[in-house]
Amino acid sequence: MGMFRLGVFTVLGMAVLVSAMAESVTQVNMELYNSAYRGRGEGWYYGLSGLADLRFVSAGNKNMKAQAALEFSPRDVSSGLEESAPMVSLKRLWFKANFPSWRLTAGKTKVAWGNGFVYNSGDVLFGSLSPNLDLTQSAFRDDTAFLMAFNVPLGRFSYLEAVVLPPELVYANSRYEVQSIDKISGGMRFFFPVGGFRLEGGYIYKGDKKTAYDMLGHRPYLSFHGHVGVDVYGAVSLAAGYDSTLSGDDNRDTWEEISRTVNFSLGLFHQFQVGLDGTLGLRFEALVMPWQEWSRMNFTELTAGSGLYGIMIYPEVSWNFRSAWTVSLRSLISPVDGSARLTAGVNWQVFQGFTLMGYVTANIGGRDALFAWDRSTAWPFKGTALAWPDYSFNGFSVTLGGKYSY
Amino acid sequence: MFMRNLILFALLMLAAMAGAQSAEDIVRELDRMQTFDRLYTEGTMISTDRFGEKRSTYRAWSRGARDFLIEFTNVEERGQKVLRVDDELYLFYPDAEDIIPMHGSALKQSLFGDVSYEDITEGRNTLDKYDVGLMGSEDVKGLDCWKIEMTATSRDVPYPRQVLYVSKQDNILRAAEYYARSGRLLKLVDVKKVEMFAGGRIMLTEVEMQDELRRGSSTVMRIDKVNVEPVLRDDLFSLRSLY
Repeated sequence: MGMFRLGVFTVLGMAVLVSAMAESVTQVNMELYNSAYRGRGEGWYYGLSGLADLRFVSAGNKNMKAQAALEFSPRDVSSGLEESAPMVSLKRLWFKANFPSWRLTAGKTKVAWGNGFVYNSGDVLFGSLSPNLDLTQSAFRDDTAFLMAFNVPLGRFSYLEAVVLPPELVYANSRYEVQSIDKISGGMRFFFPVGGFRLEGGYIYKGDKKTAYDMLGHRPYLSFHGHVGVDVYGAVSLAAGYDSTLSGDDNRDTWEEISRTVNFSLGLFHQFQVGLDGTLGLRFEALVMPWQEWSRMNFTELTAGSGLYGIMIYPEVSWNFRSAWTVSLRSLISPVDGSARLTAGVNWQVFQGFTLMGYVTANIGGRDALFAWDRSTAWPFKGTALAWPDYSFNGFSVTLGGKYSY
Repeated sequence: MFMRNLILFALLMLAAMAGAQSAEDIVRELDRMQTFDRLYTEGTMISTDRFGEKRSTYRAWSRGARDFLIEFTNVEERGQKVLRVDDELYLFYPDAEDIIPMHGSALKQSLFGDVSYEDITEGRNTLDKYDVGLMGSEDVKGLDCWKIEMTATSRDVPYPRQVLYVSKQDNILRAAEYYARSGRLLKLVDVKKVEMFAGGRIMLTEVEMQDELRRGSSTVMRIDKVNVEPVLRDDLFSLRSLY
């Protein structure tokens, strides 16, 4: 609690400082969702969830940019508890300084390496391998971390970027503890255009995890983005060497061990004009891990992160029309066990800054599959109810919500 | 009789040829008058429908016909940027801290309302996309105007047929009509304000576009601030301007 208060006061202090140093702009983004879904015991649940962030953005000094953003998420404001249990987290706290020949970024923020919307093997900083994604969210893989980045332009469309990330604080023994320096992460990337393609390559040593399914050790990667009739993009990366999160042998030093981390992502994207004011977008992405699992696994192993299927696919169709409406169909497909998660959505930008949203999500798959339509007869024994509580999502949900920025 | 008809036909052909040439000249001059070596603008797009107004504000820099940078400044889109240099086009989303290269058909995506990324970042080259012809003269808001028909030469334009009304006195666009391929009237354009600059150049600083398919729906494009020939940094049209 003490740490939490200290964090909030630090952020507010920074926000005041930002405001005092330069002209600043305040922005609030709110998202609220009503969801009805089927739970573990085939019972139905209804919950109100949401997210809000309050941002202080610097303006006025063209060589400096800064932002502080607090994110509020009510755990379950309709739970009937006498006292609601809101969670406040520090989402962003950064500044960027533009020097004549280089740029410094410091604080809690995101640096986007590689190319990919849902699957991005080049994202070795944060990892984009997790098969568990909520397709109703407005932003996927929106993770941030404390870092310092040094960006050196090499011409108009090329640059070198070095980044160093301190280890995360770890909550243990009822307090937050600082990790030793060997948990540091750091690396560099190079971005340059060749012909009609943008190429990117880099390396990072990862000392600690930033997200679930993140792999530690030596992480080299290559990525590209180009156009051959349609937009095409992809990346490849692997992990080698010491990974403290592995049990038993924590050093990937043989090809057999390293090969299991090799992952390729590939994406295709194209848009068509439909009618006078409509746009139809088609996206297809695949994540391939050739030396991972190509036969059916039990969902408990998959969700625990002890294995990944060798291939995952993400197709998306979206139709935007009248500059206010978007209808979309998104899916996560697991070809190995023949299951999929489908999310159909409608967004309507009604007023300035205000969007209404509706989604229906349905899993298609057997009871042990990654995306099961009905897992009622396959849940682990109730003794592990803490991991799989009664209100666990079970195959079907309907969500209505709204988003407002002001 | 035959000779008379022949002479009449020859005169009509000459008149038609002279008219077509004249329409091209008018449109070419329209483009020239609205092209600047360097330009800084701040503007507002206001779209109105039965649910009220939506505003997007922006500031933009351009150099020649091919270098262009726009940054949105309204709350919902603050910090989003689009950079075009020659044939390279990049989008920057501040939350994702990510630069997205755009190609081909993605350029036709709507930036706001009817305006696509391509429309706002492309140099003026109307005659590359349209065949033009003079339809005659018509009075618009008390001004004697050329009536010019433009027919698209490809399907890569939002409106296959347009009719422009260009003032004879100063060669300034005063109004326009946009039609579907079927001939149905889609939009009525009314040029409300024009600002003059040295060298006979002009800028349409307020234009209203009325949607004829949706009653009460319109878009106003307004330039709030203009600086012609500003001093621009050498690295303004590069990736580092996006971050």
